[in-house]
Amino acid sequence: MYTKSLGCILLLISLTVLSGCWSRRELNDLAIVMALGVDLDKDGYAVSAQVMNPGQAGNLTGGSNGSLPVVTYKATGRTIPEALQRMLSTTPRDLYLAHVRVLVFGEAYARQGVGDAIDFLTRSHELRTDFFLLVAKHTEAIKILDVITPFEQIPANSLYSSILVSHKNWAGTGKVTLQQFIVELERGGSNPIMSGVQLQGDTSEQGSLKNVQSVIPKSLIKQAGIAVFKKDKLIGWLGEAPSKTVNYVLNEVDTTEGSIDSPDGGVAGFIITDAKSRIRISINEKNEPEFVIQLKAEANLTTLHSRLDLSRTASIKELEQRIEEKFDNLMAANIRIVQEKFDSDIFGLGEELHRQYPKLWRSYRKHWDESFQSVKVSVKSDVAIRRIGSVVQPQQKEMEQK
Amino acid sequence: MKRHSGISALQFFILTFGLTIGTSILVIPSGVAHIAREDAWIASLVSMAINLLMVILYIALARLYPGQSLYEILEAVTGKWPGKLLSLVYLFYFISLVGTLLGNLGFFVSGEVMTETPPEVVQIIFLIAAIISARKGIIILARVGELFFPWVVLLLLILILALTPQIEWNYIKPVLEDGWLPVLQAGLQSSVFQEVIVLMVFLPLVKQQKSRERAYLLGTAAGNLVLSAIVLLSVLVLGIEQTENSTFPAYALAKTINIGNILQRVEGILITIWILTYFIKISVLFLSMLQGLRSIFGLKRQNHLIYPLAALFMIIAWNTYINTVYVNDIIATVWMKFSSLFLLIMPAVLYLIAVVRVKLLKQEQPENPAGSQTQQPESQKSP
Amino acid sequence: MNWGLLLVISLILVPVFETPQLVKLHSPRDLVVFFGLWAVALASAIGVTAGLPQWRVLDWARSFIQLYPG
Repeated sequence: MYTKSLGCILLLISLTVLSGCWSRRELNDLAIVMALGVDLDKDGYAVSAQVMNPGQAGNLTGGSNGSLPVVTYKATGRTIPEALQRMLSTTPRDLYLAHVRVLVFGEAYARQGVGDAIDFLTRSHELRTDFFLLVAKHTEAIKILDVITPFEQIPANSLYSSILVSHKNWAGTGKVTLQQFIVELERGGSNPIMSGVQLQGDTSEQGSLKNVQSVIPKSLIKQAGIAVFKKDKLIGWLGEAPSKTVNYVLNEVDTTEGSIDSPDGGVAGFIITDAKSRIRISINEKNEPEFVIQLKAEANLTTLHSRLDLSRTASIKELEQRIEEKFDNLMAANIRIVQEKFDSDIFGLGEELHRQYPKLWRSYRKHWDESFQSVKVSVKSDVAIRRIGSVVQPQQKEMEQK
Repeated sequence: MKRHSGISALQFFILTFGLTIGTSILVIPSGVAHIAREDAWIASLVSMAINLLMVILYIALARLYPGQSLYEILEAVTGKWPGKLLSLVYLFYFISLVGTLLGNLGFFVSGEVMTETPPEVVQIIFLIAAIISARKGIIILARVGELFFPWVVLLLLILILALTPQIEWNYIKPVLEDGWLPVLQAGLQSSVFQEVIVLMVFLPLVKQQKSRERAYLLGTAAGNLVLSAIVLLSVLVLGIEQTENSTFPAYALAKTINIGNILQRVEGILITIWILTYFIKISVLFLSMLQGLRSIFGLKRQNHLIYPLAALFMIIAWNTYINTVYVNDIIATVWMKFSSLFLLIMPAVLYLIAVVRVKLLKQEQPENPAGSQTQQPESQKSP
Repeated sequence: MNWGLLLVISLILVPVFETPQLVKLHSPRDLVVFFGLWAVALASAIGVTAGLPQWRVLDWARSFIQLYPG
């Protein structure tokens, strides 16, 4: 009687250790890839993989044999999986791709079209869709993966965190996951974007510890605005201001800092604490769509370089109006830049038209990229300044009274 | 321990629920999304309606011949020998189902989860589990279903709740862009993947008529609601382009779960749900085939047929699921007509003939409502 | 790993275990059906091992449907 239950319990226990034992992958047989880089090569692809060295990961001053917390391997091949397998002739362990945090495309490769790389990325069962995609601005991906960063032991993590932090607080850079990229690429009414990354500083010793052994590091990885794609080819870069506009339209802004001229000639700095945008479409007499981006934002004053009297509500109202004007004009101007310079709808206006007026979309679908260049897009913003900080009157005003 | 001679309505409900979800949960969203695009979720609701209609048809048929299993009804309606022939044809349908089922299992597990394991190993291990459940009989299986059910429900709830932060409501729009036609088409096509007729073999085991009909209907409805939820979530989280291009969209869906960066990479939840419901489906199919062979040839025992049948299943699985492209091709071109023949057309024709025979020609209905060929004496003797 | 061979070997062992119980039943039908099914399974398993062209159930379904369009 007891033997039966004993047998069952033994079976259950053995399940825990035997499951998947044919497909076992021991942790110390794996090299965990944190970042991948894809570049062009004469034969096809030059792939670089930044692999974590677990023994050294916590030790930036160099371990017992002076090695670094990461190693970047590279190999070439006609396809990406071929290059990755070829890399195994230099790596001491099997490559494990499930923890990739960022994937960097070299600019040359991105301009040629990333579609084939995307096919491998989605087809592979090991890779996930939540890592960030980046384009290396004016350089190759492997150079980006070659930099030792201060602070974070693993440069891939540093890049990953900097994307998150910068996107949350600055909004002048992009944060595009593979999932997002594919959705925007494959549907008809939009074109995707990627965030850009570049090297800053003296890169002569970027790959060694000397890079971070001074108070001002010799070279850093810097986020570089948004890369504009048409379908799967890179066609251009956006500077800081247009990138911010794109983030506003795509509803991707968390907080960001800005400044305007205050009514009496000084400068007022404000921080946006909340921003929501919606795209409204109206049809004009010629049966063409007209887009209005409605932006609703809340702001706090961060600094005031003027003598504006903040005890009067009219001052706040004036500041609000100026911010709104700035938004309306600047964003509309930036959108026009994108319209004219690139015939690529990265704002998703086409998809919005598809959602709100599906029948009208049918007539625009085939040639949306050309129509996009000539549609009227305007911005209407509504900003409310909520808090002015811990003091009331600006410093300049305080100084003149005494 | 007292031996029950039937299964309760709740157990029947659970069996229907498990059978409906079985394989469909993994592959349904892509087919539906392909035809109906953003309205895939409406299409799966249409599919539910069609499935319910099927069940109503089966219930009507069962009411004319209370207490008889599918095979007995076939013989009663069309006569002894044509009935046996038709039963054999149904067995052919069921065995092709088992083949695709086993093949699907092997390819999914070895393709996505344990890549170095050959698919045959996974199939053999699962087949051993199915053999054990077949030897024990349907009643034991129904109890096992009762054990599994709370876990399946719990995991489904976790899955659905964990996905809600990833939802982008915009992905559903525009609604009904191309009108109702693609929705109906997609609904019809996906409704034939839930082969609820298999349960007609075991319907008589539930003693009260009202409660078994209710269990049958509710089980189908509940299973289809779960499938619709998965399709809806698939569209909302992944977007249609990815849903229709994935080989296993529900798995891709589960991979996206990420709550606060703590609860992530838990696609094991989906795999567990799927394995449990899949086990129910394959065991029910196995048992219904054994029951069928027993009915057709008038055998005294059915357990000795388990091993050759299992071997046959393996071989057929290797020959039906050759690779995903072959199967997808068959599904897209042939399967709907093939399946609807067994699920809709034949039962409808049978019902018409049965109405004629019973009502108009006053055919005698069997006196023993429990039926003489049901399985319950067997389970008491099997080792 | 040759799965067909595994099947063949296990199939050959099956009647060894099942026949005594079957004979006790005194039912010729059971014996006939069992051995019939067993023979079919064995033949297919040998076919798989020997690399003979297999029956493709889905192809049969496809040809069946093509006989009755619509």
